[in-house]
Amino acid sequence: MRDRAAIVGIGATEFSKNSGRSEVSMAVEAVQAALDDCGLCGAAIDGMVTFATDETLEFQVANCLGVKEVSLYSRVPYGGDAGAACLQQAAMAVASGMAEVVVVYRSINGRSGLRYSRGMPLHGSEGAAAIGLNGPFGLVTPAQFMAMHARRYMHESGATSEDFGRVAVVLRSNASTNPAAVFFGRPITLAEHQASRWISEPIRLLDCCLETDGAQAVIVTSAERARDLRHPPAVIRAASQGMVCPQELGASWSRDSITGMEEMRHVARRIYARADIGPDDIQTAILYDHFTPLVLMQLEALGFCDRGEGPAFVREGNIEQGGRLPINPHGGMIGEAYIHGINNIAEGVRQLRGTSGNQVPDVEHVLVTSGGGGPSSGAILGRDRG
Amino acid sequence: VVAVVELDEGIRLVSNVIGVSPGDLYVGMPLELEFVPVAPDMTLPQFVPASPPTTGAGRTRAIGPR
Repeated sequence: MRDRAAIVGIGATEFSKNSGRSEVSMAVEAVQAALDDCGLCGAAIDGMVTFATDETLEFQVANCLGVKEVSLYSRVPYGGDAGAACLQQAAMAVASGMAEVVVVYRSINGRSGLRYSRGMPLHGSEGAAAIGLNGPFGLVTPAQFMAMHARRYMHESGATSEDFGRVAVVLRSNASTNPAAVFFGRPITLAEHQASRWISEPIRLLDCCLETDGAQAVIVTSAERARDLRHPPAVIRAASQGMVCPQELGASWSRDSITGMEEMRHVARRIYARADIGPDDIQTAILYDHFTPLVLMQLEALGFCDRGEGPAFVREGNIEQGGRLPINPHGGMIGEAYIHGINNIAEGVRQLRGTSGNQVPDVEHVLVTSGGGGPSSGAILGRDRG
Repeated sequence: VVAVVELDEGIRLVSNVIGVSPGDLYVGMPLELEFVPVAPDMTLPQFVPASPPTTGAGRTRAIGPR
């Protein structure tokens, strides 16, 4: 699959707290913007991939875009863990000839509609039962699950709330110079982070990602066809999902180590091997930043630093603009928007094109992750070498 | 306090530690099981600090229903 498919178009709606319209309407706008970005028309689309949690139906979106016939539509489960896995689906479809032009999209009224911070359903399905057994003891929201992760990580690594805060300060700084970001022009200080209220101790308000209304789409086609389109292609070098047993959703309590992110380590091994590169070959990483402690753990799981060294890696300035590994230059889901990580993939594309507002110099490879705490996925995007 | 409790048998449970202030709780504290009625139709397995204090093993501990 390596280098067979590429992202050629990206498009998004505005990011807001109250879109005032349906998720179908936003999905149509984002996909049309992605088509316009690469110069293809809706009739070219013959594949559609989105999240199992997306509320739109594929044909509702396709009907509004001039799509004619669709040969492949698939959905990936486990919430935000789906992002890079959707790219994997699209790349597989293109590489195998199952589809020629695949759109990956996510549309979400995450603030004005169903707010994930209000908790997950605890009964009514087997999936709900997988987390519902924790409900009576007080684990209902994503922040509460990740607080358990974070507390154990503090115990094992010596990380402090300030170490979490340093991640938030960098991402808000990045967002502050991104005009598309919800937090454009609104950086924070570490003191402000430390003064923000507990959401679920040890996670503070400013450790949490946003809740956003908006949609983001990316268009995937063959690397060969990509060369005829408007922008330098972001070639999909590798992508993988990761599920490692014993596996649970919020945190896999029964493993020897609760904080090892074994599924992300699995993803890392797979994508580095398939791309035939290592962590030193990555110039910028777009990490799934739902909660700051999981960003530290990802830096370790992806091999950018050793186990337990995440806090020191951040303190040394490595993840900032100009550092060894700038992360989430657009501000991520903490600073730009929570479009469930598809907006993070779009930033990876801009970094490879050289068009990001916070451009990292000489980007050859971008690593993008999705999910953290449960089943996960990741991808490596690179410059065209064809 | 929500906690992951490891039983002597090696099984881990998501549960609560009750009867101790959060500041006095520490990772590895020996615990005992109590079945606590929390609603007319619901009884939860929760944990309290072990009494008398156990020594030696240092692992989080739970004792079955009595």
